[in-house]
Amino acid sequence: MTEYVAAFSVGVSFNCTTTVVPRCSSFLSVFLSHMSFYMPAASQLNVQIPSDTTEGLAVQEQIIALMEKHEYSMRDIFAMRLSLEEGITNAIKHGNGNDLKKNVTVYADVSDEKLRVEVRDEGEGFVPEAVPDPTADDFIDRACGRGLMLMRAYLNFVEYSEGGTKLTMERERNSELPIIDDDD
Amino acid sequence: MSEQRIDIEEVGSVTVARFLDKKILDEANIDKIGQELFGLVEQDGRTQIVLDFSLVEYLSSAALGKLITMHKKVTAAGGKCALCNIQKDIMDVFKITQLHKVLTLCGDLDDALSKF
Repeated sequence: MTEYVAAFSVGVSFNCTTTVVPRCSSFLSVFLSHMSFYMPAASQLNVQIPSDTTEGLAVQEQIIALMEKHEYSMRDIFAMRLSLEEGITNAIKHGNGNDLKKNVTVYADVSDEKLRVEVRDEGEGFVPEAVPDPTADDFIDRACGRGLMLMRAYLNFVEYSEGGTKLTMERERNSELPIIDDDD
Repeated sequence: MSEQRIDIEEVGSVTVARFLDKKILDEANIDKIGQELFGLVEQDGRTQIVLDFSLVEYLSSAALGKLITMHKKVTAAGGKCALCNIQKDIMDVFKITQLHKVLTLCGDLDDALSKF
């Protein structure tokens, strides 16, 4: 069961153009005729879900929909879909241990310039520095442990705080990937 | 009977397994894909395998884990597993995680088949 704590916020801006005011029109009618509604300056989402990855996917789709509304590129959307999947799945699986009685809270703030997403779980937390480098020789062929690495590659800012129970992710529009070691 | 996540084709002695999902993200879906992949080796005894990514647009680290496990199983059985038709965004994921040094990544299907 998904609880929507808050709905989208919608900002409105006005576009007033300089015109010659017809003699018979009131100022108000001209103002209204030249007023237009623009894209919201920012969109927010605040959702609480149980520890269910299907619910997590639904939240991802809502945030992607906000990105599409703000006309982010496919590369930005690829980066955020991947990062959201890793971050939310980590919270559900490793944070809450798939315990349906525990919730994951996701807050997203999407503007034309960047996205900020916060993911909170109700687990015991963890020490990010203790996660081994998945590209190290001893770990390169392990089947798990790459989610954090991918988030760090695709995002401008990644931080686990509050004992590892809160993840903050930020990505600016049109950010480039880091230089990738292409040696064979 | 649940829906198949992988399409199987035989090309000579090589099994070509094509992923049918655009997004390999959902945990339950990834587990199903893993079962189908591992079944090719453990139940069918196939050891010459090409994984075709032509339809795949997204995949998560959990999916990477299944590919690594598949690679290990095929190698342990004395066979070979090659990946082909990988879109650029997905190739970036392999390179970021350095898995292009572990897995056999090829260009198109013909390129992959030439590895056997």
